Amino acid sequence: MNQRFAVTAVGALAVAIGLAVIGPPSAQAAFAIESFAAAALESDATPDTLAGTHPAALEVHLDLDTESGARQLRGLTVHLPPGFLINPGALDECSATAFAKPRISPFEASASGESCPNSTQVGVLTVQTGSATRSFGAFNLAAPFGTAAAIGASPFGTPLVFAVHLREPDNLALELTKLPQSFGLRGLDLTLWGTPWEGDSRPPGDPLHKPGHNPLRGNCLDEQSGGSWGECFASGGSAAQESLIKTYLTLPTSPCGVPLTYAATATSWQGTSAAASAVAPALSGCNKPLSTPKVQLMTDAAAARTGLAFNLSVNDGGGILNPGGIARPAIKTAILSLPEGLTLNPSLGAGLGVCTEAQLARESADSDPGAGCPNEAKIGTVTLEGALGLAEALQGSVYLAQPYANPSGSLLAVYLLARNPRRGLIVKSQGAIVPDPATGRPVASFENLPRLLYTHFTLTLREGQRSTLVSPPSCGTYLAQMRTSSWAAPEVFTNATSAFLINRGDPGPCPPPGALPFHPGLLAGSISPSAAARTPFYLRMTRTDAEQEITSYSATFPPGLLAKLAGVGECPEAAIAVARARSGAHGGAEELAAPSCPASSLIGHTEAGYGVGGVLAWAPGNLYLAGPYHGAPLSIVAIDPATIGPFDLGVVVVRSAIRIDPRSAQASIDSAGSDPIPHVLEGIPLHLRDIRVHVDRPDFTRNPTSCDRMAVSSLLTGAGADPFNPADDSLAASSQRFQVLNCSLLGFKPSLSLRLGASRHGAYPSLRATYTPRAKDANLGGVSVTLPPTVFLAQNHIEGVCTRVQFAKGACPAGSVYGHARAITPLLDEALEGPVYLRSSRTAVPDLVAALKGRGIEIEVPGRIDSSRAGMRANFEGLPDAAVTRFTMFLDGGKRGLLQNGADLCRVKRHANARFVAQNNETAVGHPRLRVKCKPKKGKRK
Amino acid sequence: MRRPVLLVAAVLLSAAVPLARAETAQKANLRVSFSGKISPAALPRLGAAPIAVTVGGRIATLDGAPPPQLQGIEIALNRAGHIDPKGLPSCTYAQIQPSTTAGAQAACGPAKVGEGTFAANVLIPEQSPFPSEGKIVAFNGIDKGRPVILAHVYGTLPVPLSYTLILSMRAGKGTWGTVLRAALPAVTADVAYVTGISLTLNRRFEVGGKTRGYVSAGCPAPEGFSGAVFALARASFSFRTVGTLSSTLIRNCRVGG
Repeated sequence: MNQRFAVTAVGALAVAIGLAVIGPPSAQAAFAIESFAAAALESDATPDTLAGTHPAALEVHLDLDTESGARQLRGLTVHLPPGFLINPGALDECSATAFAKPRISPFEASASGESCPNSTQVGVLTVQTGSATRSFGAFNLAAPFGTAAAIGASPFGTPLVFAVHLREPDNLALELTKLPQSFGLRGLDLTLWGTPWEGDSRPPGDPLHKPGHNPLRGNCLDEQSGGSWGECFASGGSAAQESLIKTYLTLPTSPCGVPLTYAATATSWQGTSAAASAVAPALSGCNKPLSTPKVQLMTDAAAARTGLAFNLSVNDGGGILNPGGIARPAIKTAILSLPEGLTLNPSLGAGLGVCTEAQLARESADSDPGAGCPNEAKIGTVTLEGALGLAEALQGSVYLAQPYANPSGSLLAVYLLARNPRRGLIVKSQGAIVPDPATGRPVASFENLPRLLYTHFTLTLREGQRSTLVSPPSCGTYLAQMRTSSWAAPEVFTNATSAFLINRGDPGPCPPPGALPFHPGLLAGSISPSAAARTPFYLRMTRTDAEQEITSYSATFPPGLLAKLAGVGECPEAAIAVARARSGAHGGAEELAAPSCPASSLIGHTEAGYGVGGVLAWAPGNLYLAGPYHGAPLSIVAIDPATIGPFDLGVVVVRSAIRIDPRSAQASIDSAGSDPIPHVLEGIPLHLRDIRVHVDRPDFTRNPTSCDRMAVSSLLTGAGADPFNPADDSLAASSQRFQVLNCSLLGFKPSLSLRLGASRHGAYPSLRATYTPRAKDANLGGVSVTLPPTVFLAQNHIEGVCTRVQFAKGACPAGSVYGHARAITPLLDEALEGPVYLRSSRTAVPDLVAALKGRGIEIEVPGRIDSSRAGMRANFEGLPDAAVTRFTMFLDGGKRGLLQNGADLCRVKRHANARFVAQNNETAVGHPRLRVKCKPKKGKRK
Repeated sequence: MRRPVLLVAAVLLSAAVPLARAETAQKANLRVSFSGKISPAALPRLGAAPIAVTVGGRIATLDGAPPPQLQGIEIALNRAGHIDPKGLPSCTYAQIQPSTTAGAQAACGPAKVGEGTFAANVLIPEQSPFPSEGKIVAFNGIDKGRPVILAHVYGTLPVPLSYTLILSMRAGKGTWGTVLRAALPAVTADVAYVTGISLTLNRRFEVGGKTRGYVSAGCPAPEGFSGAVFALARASFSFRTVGTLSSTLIRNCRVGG
């Protein structure tokens, strides 16, 4: 070793206090680092160990094994300890032109190949080549693209450039590459000044004179001895103003108590490498108060879509560049609990993409847009200002991470990515947003935020139509709570709050306190307005952003709007259970790929619009027919893969009992028999604003044949003031007019036949009445049949009558059965049939009621019995507007017969009178003959 | 049939008794107002002339509650009169039950001996009683080989209904020469309760060129009296649970004709 190196400060340190570690000899004797030392020093050449301060100098010493052939050195990298900063923005840059132009010195024959301005000098590089040792100025070069900084010297006209790169995870590396093989470097000492422009212009005799680096600056550096020819100022002919003097070096802000490690790796032209490391004293004074972040919503309106801005000013007081300042550590962990009432906006999911871990890994400082995270996954921006003292910021985006397949394994996670391509700087971080399952309050947690020191950190979450958040529903002041810890003390958290003010509605004044209004809209109807049309039916329920969430609904459909169940299967209970079980991370995708219910039970589809504002996120689903539920004979199951954009929230199963009014066959859904509509999934209020149900299985739903004005009515339940508390739910009724057209185009020509089982006077005949309509006719609305006066009510045979209470309970006594009835309808695969009862009525005579049942559906057909023109009359009114192919009612005869012949029917006229009224109000009159078996007249036997 | 026997009544009573009135019998909560009359009022002192006799009753309760079921009707006629169906065609129960009034008359018109009205509350299980009124047509009938009166009841409300009461005839004792009795079958009692009934027997017919009456009577006035007050009939209604309420109908006649 040259003696020159033995007297350098770092060399002295290495000897005196043993702080520098001499690297182990390389395993390959042909190429080795003989010694390596590095340290940040105070101005008195003692180690600087106060975290975040600015050392007077960084000295790096390297000796190569001269015996093994230093001529072979090709590249050298010096790794600074993590968090050790070189701030190229602290001073001017030397242009490539100036760096390439040889220096002309008035003091000596300079061997330096550069002529960089004094204002760009950052230190001195002393090189040992062969037998020569000479010192040269080291300069802050204009950094090539992709390089954070460049430090260059040009010994003997050979440019040696240390490119400074930010390497993973967060340490700077000084990389000297492609050292000419002919250069013959055997050792070097690199001194970087902590405050390059230090040095005033007072005369040397002035007791206040501080020469700073003036003696070794520019032409004043004695290249031969490493001493000085005089004092040269930083800025041409004068010293730099004190206010412009900034620091070039900053010690790490952490960790304390752990020795700082410097490392060097060298490579040879022969392809071999050598490494060494040096350990410096541990830092102290890491614990510094953290800056308080500020969180602000981007709206002051209630229940409005909004973004969010997270601002953190850490070292804006000059901690990085101010020689007197101390850099404060960067925040490592931030846990942001947004105020209750502020919720995530499902609209965010509309058209949103995701960034996978692999895509994130492909992101580099200079990667092209789209090479890594897709633009569709962007939900916000990130800016880091002041890093490395640079004027240009690191800018980037907040990307939505692929749900569940992210480092936090959470549904909602984000990647923060900011970069400065020109400087080759990139920082990546990730966070998770977890809504409180009880309150929906989003809690955003960011771990391992950028360690690279900055002055300002800004994170914004998108606002606008597909905003990330929805503001609280009512006016007031809301507090966000923050817990932060630094890289210096990760376990020590600082609590802070940030207030939001919501002071208006969206639009208009503040919503009244308490529960929001709830006036949901209802839109329903058939696609075709024609009577009896086989047409899809749709139903749409909506609410505005300023209204309560919809949690359940009931609907009553118009009489006569019926479904053809014939040929339609039912989704088995087991399949529904499978759908319900698909509540996990990929349940929605699984349901989409392999629907739980068979296609034979598919009757339509649904669309659910979630979110706030003009753009909603839509989740499609299917509608299936299912079996009995909550006491109803049928049910429909909406199975919605809750895939809102990229979020797979599993499967939402809402099963609703379909009740059929036994009198009118009117279908309805009541909320008591239906599952509630989930309005919070995974703690995320869904802000379900638009529910669209399309019952569109071909040839499934049929319009009424009545053109009376009807309605689809609905009763919706609102979530009240607190969507998470069902106790304050409220109700709102909606109604939508429903009326079909062209009833007059429907025909009506009913046919009725009556057959008595006996003709003898005094006999108790059975009666078979058969109604047969024509296909495509209007459905029967009512019919009255008057028997001839010669047919009496056999009052003495009325032994049992079913009370209305018994009938309602389905507990009619056997003695009240007097016959049976059967209806064949194209709507069902099986006939509706059942007993005919006498049921107590409010009139003088019990009603004759056919209690029909088929596929679990119960229909009652009551007939009021009275007399007309001395004849017994049965009136069947208000019949269901349902198509039948044939309806037969059979009344027993004999001892159970309700009728008694008042004459020998073979000898008297025996025509009944029938009056039919169709659902479209068309009428028809008939005089069906009572058919009986009579003995042929004697004269006609032949 | 027994020959009719004239009834002698106290002359002194004749001045005190109104010519037409309703007699009331009451038992507990039940009240029956019997009524009756005879026409013409002038009758021969000796022998008998065709008459029309009307007997009726209205049944009610004091508190308006449904009256108990009527189980039997008995009408005893004074021996001054008699019923003589000789020469009249007769009819059977099966010919007229059930049937409309027109149907019954079509089947048994020649045997008709009188007519009247009825009022009843029709009873159907689990239904409110329904008031019904209708016409009674009485026919000379035969039941089990014995002469009877078939009282055919027909109404159209609430539905066409038809009943036929069979009034049997037997000889009475003492004052009463003929007793008509109808037992309402239990099944009938279960389907309606009678609230009023009135029947007039007034058939006149010719036999051998001579006009005769289905009911004939004379005026039992003693010699020297121009008229008499006499017990026309005794009506008895038997009710379930309550028993029998009876009343004797006192009417007067003049000697004449």
